[in-house]
Amino acid sequence: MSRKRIVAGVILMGIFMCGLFTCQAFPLLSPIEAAQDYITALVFAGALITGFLLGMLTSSIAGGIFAGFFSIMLGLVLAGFMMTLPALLGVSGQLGMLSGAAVGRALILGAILTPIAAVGTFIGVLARNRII
Amino acid sequence: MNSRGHARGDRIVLIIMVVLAVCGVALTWATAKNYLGAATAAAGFQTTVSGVTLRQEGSGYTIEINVSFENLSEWDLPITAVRSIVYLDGQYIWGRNYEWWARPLELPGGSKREVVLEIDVPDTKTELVAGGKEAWSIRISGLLDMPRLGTKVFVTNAVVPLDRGNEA
Repeated sequence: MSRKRIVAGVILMGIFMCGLFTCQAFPLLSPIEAAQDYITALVFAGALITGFLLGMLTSSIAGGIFAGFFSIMLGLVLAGFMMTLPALLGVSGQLGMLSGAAVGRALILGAILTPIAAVGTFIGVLARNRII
Repeated sequence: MNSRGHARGDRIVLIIMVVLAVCGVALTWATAKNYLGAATAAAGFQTTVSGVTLRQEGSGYTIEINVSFENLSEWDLPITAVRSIVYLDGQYIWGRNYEWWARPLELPGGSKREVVLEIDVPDTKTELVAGGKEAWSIRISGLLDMPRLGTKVFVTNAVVPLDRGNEA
Protein backbone atom coordinates (compact mmCIF):
# COMPACT_ATOMS: atom_id res chain seq x y z
CA MET A 1 0.00 0.00 0.00
CA SER A 2 2.81 2.33 0.96
CA ARG A 3 4.58 1.64 -2.35
CA LYS A 4 1.36 2.32 -4.29
CA ARG A 5 1.02 5.67 -2.51
CA ILE A 6 4.59 6.61 -3.35
CA VAL A 7 4.12 5.64 -7.02
CA ALA A 8 0.90 7.69 -7.11
CA GLY A 9 2.78 10.55 -5.46
CA VAL A 10 5.61 10.36 -8.01
CA ILE A 11 3.13 10.47 -10.91
CA LEU A 12 1.08 13.33 -9.42
CA MET A 13 4.13 15.43 -8.60
CA GLY A 14 5.62 14.62 -12.03
CA ILE A 15 2.47 16.09 -13.62
CA PHE A 16 2.78 19.14 -11.35
CA MET A 17 6.45 19.61 -12.28
CA CYS A 18 5.56 19.20 -15.99
CA GLY A 19 3.38 22.32 -15.73
CA LEU A 20 6.24 24.31 -14.20
CA PHE A 21 8.80 22.99 -16.71
CA THR A 22 6.54 23.80 -19.66
CA CYS A 23 6.09 27.36 -18.34
CA GLN A 24 9.83 27.60 -17.76
CA ALA A 25 10.53 26.56 -21.37
CA PHE A 26 8.08 29.14 -22.78
CA PRO A 27 7.73 31.88 -20.15
CA LEU A 28 6.22 34.35 -22.62
CA LEU A 29 3.50 31.86 -23.57
CA SER A 30 2.55 31.20 -19.96
CA PRO A 31 -0.98 32.28 -18.99
CA ILE A 32 0.22 33.57 -15.63
CA GLU A 33 1.85 36.97 -16.04
CA ALA A 34 3.86 36.69 -12.81
CA ALA A 35 5.27 33.38 -14.04
CA GLN A 36 7.04 35.26 -16.82
CA ASP A 37 9.31 36.98 -14.31
CA TYR A 38 9.51 34.48 -11.49
CA ILE A 39 9.23 31.11 -13.23
CA THR A 40 12.71 29.93 -12.22
CA ALA A 41 11.96 30.69 -8.56
CA LEU A 42 8.61 28.86 -8.97
CA VAL A 43 10.36 25.80 -10.44
CA PHE A 44 12.78 25.72 -7.48
CA ALA A 45 9.89 26.13 -5.02
CA GLY A 46 8.02 23.37 -6.89
CA ALA A 47 10.98 20.99 -6.51
CA LEU A 48 11.17 21.77 -2.79
CA ILE A 49 7.42 21.17 -2.36
CA THR A 50 7.68 17.94 -4.41
CA GLY A 51 10.48 16.65 -2.16
CA PHE A 52 8.63 17.73 0.97
CA LEU A 53 5.35 16.03 0.03
CA LEU A 54 7.10 12.83 -1.11
CA GLY A 55 9.08 12.88 2.14
CA MET A 56 5.77 13.09 4.00
CA LEU A 57 4.69 9.87 2.23
CA THR A 58 7.77 7.82 3.06
CA SER A 59 9.69 7.12 6.22
CA SER A 60 13.05 6.67 4.47
CA ILE A 61 15.06 9.66 3.29
CA ALA A 62 16.74 7.61 0.53
CA GLY A 63 13.34 6.45 -0.77
CA GLY A 64 12.06 10.03 -0.72
CA ILE A 65 15.10 11.30 -2.62
CA PHE A 66 14.62 8.61 -5.31
CA ALA A 67 10.92 9.45 -5.50
CA GLY A 68 11.76 13.16 -5.88
CA PHE A 69 14.30 12.39 -8.60
CA PHE A 70 11.79 10.25 -10.53
CA SER A 71 9.14 12.97 -10.19
CA ILE A 72 11.50 15.57 -11.67
CA MET A 73 12.50 13.19 -14.47
CA LEU A 74 8.84 12.39 -15.20
CA GLY A 75 8.11 16.13 -15.27
CA LEU A 76 10.97 16.71 -17.71
CA VAL A 77 9.88 13.84 -19.97
CA LEU A 78 6.28 15.09 -20.04
CA ALA A 79 7.44 18.68 -20.69
CA GLY A 80 9.70 17.37 -23.48
CA PHE A 81 6.67 15.65 -24.98
CA MET A 82 4.73 18.94 -24.86
CA MET A 83 7.64 20.71 -26.61
CA THR A 84 7.65 18.20 -29.47
CA LEU A 85 3.85 18.35 -29.81
CA PRO A 86 3.87 20.61 -32.94
CA ALA A 87 6.22 18.17 -34.71
CA LEU A 88 4.07 15.22 -33.62
CA LEU A 89 0.92 16.97 -34.86
CA GLY A 90 2.62 17.93 -38.14
CA VAL A 91 2.45 21.72 -37.69
CA SER A 92 6.18 22.37 -37.79
CA GLY A 93 7.58 24.33 -40.73
CA GLN A 94 10.95 25.82 -41.68
CA LEU A 95 11.11 27.74 -38.43
CA GLY A 96 12.80 25.98 -35.51
CA MET A 97 10.55 26.40 -32.48
CA LEU A 98 12.73 24.53 -30.04
CA SER A 99 16.31 25.52 -29.51
CA GLY A 100 19.09 23.22 -28.34
CA ALA A 101 19.69 25.70 -25.55
CA ALA A 102 16.19 25.10 -24.16
CA VAL A 103 16.79 21.33 -24.05
CA GLY A 104 20.21 21.80 -22.39
CA ARG A 105 18.71 24.24 -19.89
CA ALA A 106 16.01 21.70 -18.99
CA LEU A 107 18.61 18.94 -18.42
CA ILE A 108 20.76 21.22 -16.24
CA LEU A 109 17.65 22.19 -14.29
CA GLY A 110 16.84 18.51 -13.73
CA ALA A 111 20.33 17.97 -12.31
CA ILE A 112 20.12 21.06 -10.07
CA LEU A 113 16.60 20.37 -8.84
CA THR A 114 17.29 16.86 -7.49
CA PRO A 115 19.34 18.07 -4.48
CA ILE A 116 16.74 20.79 -3.85
CA ALA A 117 14.01 18.15 -3.82
CA ALA A 118 16.27 16.11 -1.49
CA VAL A 119 16.28 19.03 0.99
CA GLY A 120 12.48 19.05 0.80
CA THR A 121 12.41 15.29 1.35
CA PHE A 122 14.62 15.62 4.41
CA ILE A 123 12.26 18.24 5.90
CA GLY A 124 9.24 16.10 4.91
CA VAL A 125 10.58 12.95 6.58
CA LEU A 126 11.40 14.89 9.74
CA ALA A 127 7.91 16.42 9.70
CA ARG A 128 6.31 12.99 9.20
CA ASN A 129 8.15 11.59 12.18
CA ARG A 130 7.26 14.68 14.22
CA ILE A 131 10.91 15.51 14.80
CA ILE A 132 10.33 19.12 13.78
CA MET B 1 2.81 8.94 15.49
CA ASN B 2 0.64 5.78 15.26
CA SER B 3 -0.23 4.04 11.98
CA ARG B 4 -3.76 5.50 11.90
CA GLY B 5 -2.27 8.96 12.20
CA HIS B 6 0.21 8.20 9.40
CA ALA B 7 -2.58 6.89 7.14
CA ARG B 8 -4.61 10.08 7.72
CA GLY B 9 -1.52 12.20 7.06
CA ASP B 10 -0.81 10.26 3.84
CA ARG B 11 -4.37 10.88 2.64
CA ILE B 12 -4.02 14.62 3.24
CA VAL B 13 -0.66 14.64 1.42
CA LEU B 14 -2.18 12.75 -1.54
CA ILE B 15 -5.10 15.21 -1.69
CA ILE B 16 -2.62 18.14 -1.78
CA MET B 17 -0.71 16.29 -4.53
CA VAL B 18 -3.89 15.81 -6.57
CA VAL B 19 -4.68 19.54 -6.26
CA LEU B 20 -1.13 20.44 -7.37
CA ALA B 21 -1.31 17.95 -10.27
CA VAL B 22 -4.60 19.51 -11.43
CA CYS B 23 -2.92 22.96 -11.29
CA GLY B 24 0.00 21.48 -13.28
CA VAL B 25 -2.36 20.09 -15.93
CA ALA B 26 -4.16 23.46 -16.22
CA LEU B 27 -0.84 25.30 -16.54
CA THR B 28 0.48 22.83 -19.12
CA TRP B 29 -2.76 22.96 -21.10
CA ALA B 30 -2.87 26.78 -21.22
CA THR B 31 0.83 27.08 -22.15
CA ALA B 32 0.66 24.26 -24.72
CA LYS B 33 -2.40 25.88 -26.35
CA ASN B 34 -0.46 29.16 -26.79
CA TYR B 35 2.56 27.17 -27.97
CA LEU B 36 0.54 25.32 -30.61
CA GLY B 37 -0.87 28.68 -31.79
CA ALA B 38 2.68 30.02 -32.12
CA ALA B 39 3.82 26.83 -33.88
CA THR B 40 0.92 27.10 -36.35
CA ALA B 41 1.92 30.72 -37.07
CA ALA B 42 5.54 29.62 -37.49
CA ALA B 43 4.47 26.88 -39.92
CA GLY B 44 2.89 29.64 -42.07
CA PHE B 45 6.31 31.14 -42.70
CA GLN B 46 8.01 29.93 -45.88
CA THR B 47 11.22 30.83 -47.64
CA THR B 48 11.65 29.89 -51.28
CA VAL B 49 14.61 30.33 -53.61
CA SER B 50 13.02 31.30 -56.93
CA GLY B 51 16.18 31.70 -58.98
CA VAL B 52 19.92 32.15 -59.12
CA THR B 53 21.64 34.47 -61.60
CA LEU B 54 25.34 34.72 -62.29
CA ARG B 55 26.43 38.17 -63.42
CA GLN B 56 29.87 38.90 -64.82
CA GLU B 57 31.42 42.23 -63.82
CA GLY B 58 34.82 42.73 -65.44
CA SER B 59 36.94 39.78 -64.42
CA GLY B 60 34.76 38.94 -61.40
CA TYR B 61 31.36 37.37 -60.84
CA THR B 62 28.36 38.28 -58.71
CA ILE B 63 25.74 35.72 -57.74
CA GLU B 64 22.19 37.01 -57.32
CA ILE B 65 19.81 34.82 -55.36
CA ASN B 66 16.10 35.59 -55.66
CA VAL B 67 14.47 34.70 -52.37
CA SER B 68 10.81 35.05 -51.50
CA PHE B 69 9.63 35.22 -47.90
CA GLU B 70 5.97 34.34 -47.40
CA ASN B 71 4.02 34.79 -44.20
CA LEU B 72 0.72 32.89 -44.33
CA SER B 73 0.00 33.44 -40.63
CA GLU B 74 -1.86 36.33 -38.99
CA TRP B 75 1.20 37.40 -37.01
CA ASP B 76 3.74 40.00 -38.10
CA LEU B 77 7.11 38.29 -38.49
CA PRO B 78 10.07 40.66 -38.91
CA ILE B 79 13.27 39.10 -40.27
CA THR B 80 16.36 40.44 -38.52
CA ALA B 81 19.17 38.52 -40.22
CA VAL B 82 19.76 36.23 -43.19
CA ARG B 83 22.73 34.12 -44.19
CA SER B 84 23.13 32.65 -47.65
CA ILE B 85 25.63 29.98 -48.60
CA VAL B 86 26.21 28.97 -52.21
CA TYR B 87 27.57 25.65 -53.54
CA LEU B 88 28.15 24.82 -57.18
CA ASP B 89 28.21 21.16 -58.25
CA GLY B 90 28.60 20.23 -54.59
CA GLN B 91 31.59 22.53 -54.00
CA TYR B 92 31.45 25.43 -51.59
CA ILE B 93 31.64 28.80 -53.33
CA TRP B 94 30.93 31.51 -50.79
CA GLY B 95 28.56 32.77 -48.10
CA ARG B 96 27.38 36.13 -46.85
CA ASN B 97 25.54 37.52 -43.86
CA TYR B 98 22.87 40.19 -44.17
CA GLU B 99 22.09 41.82 -40.86
CA TRP B 100 18.97 43.92 -40.51
CA TRP B 101 18.89 44.33 -36.72
CA ALA B 102 18.43 48.10 -36.98
CA ARG B 103 15.80 47.89 -39.70
CA PRO B 104 14.26 44.40 -39.82
CA LEU B 105 12.65 43.21 -43.03
CA GLU B 106 8.99 43.58 -42.06
CA LEU B 107 6.75 40.70 -43.07
CA PRO B 108 3.16 41.47 -42.00
CA GLY B 109 0.61 38.65 -41.70
CA GLY B 110 -0.54 37.30 -45.07
CA SER B 111 2.20 39.09 -47.02
CA LYS B 112 4.97 38.02 -49.39
CA ARG B 113 8.27 39.77 -50.11
CA GLU B 114 10.88 39.17 -52.75
CA VAL B 115 14.50 39.95 -51.95
CA VAL B 116 17.63 39.70 -54.08
CA LEU B 117 20.69 38.60 -52.12
CA GLU B 118 24.00 39.41 -53.79
CA ILE B 119 27.23 37.56 -53.23
CA ASP B 120 30.50 38.69 -54.79
CA VAL B 121 32.50 35.64 -55.85
CA PRO B 122 36.10 35.86 -54.58
CA ASP B 123 38.94 35.67 -57.10
CA THR B 124 39.98 32.22 -55.85
CA LYS B 125 36.59 30.79 -56.88
CA THR B 126 36.23 32.48 -60.29
CA GLU B 127 37.41 29.46 -62.28
CA LEU B 128 35.16 27.15 -60.33
CA VAL B 129 32.11 29.34 -61.02
CA ALA B 130 32.99 29.73 -64.73
CA GLY B 131 33.31 25.98 -65.14
CA GLY B 132 30.04 25.07 -63.42
CA LYS B 133 28.22 22.10 -64.98
CA GLU B 134 25.15 20.94 -63.07
CA ALA B 135 23.41 22.89 -60.34
CA TRP B 136 23.59 25.52 -57.65
CA SER B 137 22.86 24.43 -54.10
CA ILE B 138 21.66 27.29 -51.95
CA ARG B 139 21.24 27.28 -48.20
CA ILE B 140 19.29 30.18 -46.74
CA SER B 141 19.09 30.53 -42.99
CA GLY B 142 18.10 33.43 -40.81
CA LEU B 143 16.64 34.85 -37.67
CA LEU B 144 13.06 35.86 -37.24
CA ASP B 145 11.56 37.84 -34.38
CA MET B 146 8.44 35.98 -33.26
CA PRO B 147 5.92 37.73 -31.02
CA ARG B 148 6.00 36.23 -27.46
CA LEU B 149 8.67 33.71 -28.46
CA GLY B 150 11.67 35.86 -29.26
CA THR B 151 14.24 35.15 -31.93
CA LYS B 152 13.82 31.90 -33.89
CA VAL B 153 15.95 30.29 -36.55
CA PHE B 154 14.72 29.29 -40.01
CA VAL B 155 16.58 27.19 -42.56
CA THR B 156 15.82 26.24 -46.14
CA ASN B 157 17.80 24.49 -48.87
CA ALA B 158 17.29 24.66 -52.62
CA VAL B 159 18.86 23.13 -55.69
CA VAL B 160 18.68 25.25 -58.86
CA PRO B 161 19.82 23.65 -62.16
CA LEU B 162 22.54 25.63 -63.89
CA ASP B 163 20.78 26.01 -67.25
CA ARG B 164 18.06 28.02 -65.47
CA GLY B 165 20.43 29.89 -63.23
CA ASN B 166 23.17 31.05 -65.59
CA GLU B 167 20.96 32.89 -68.00
CA ALA B 168 22.07 36.47 -67.33
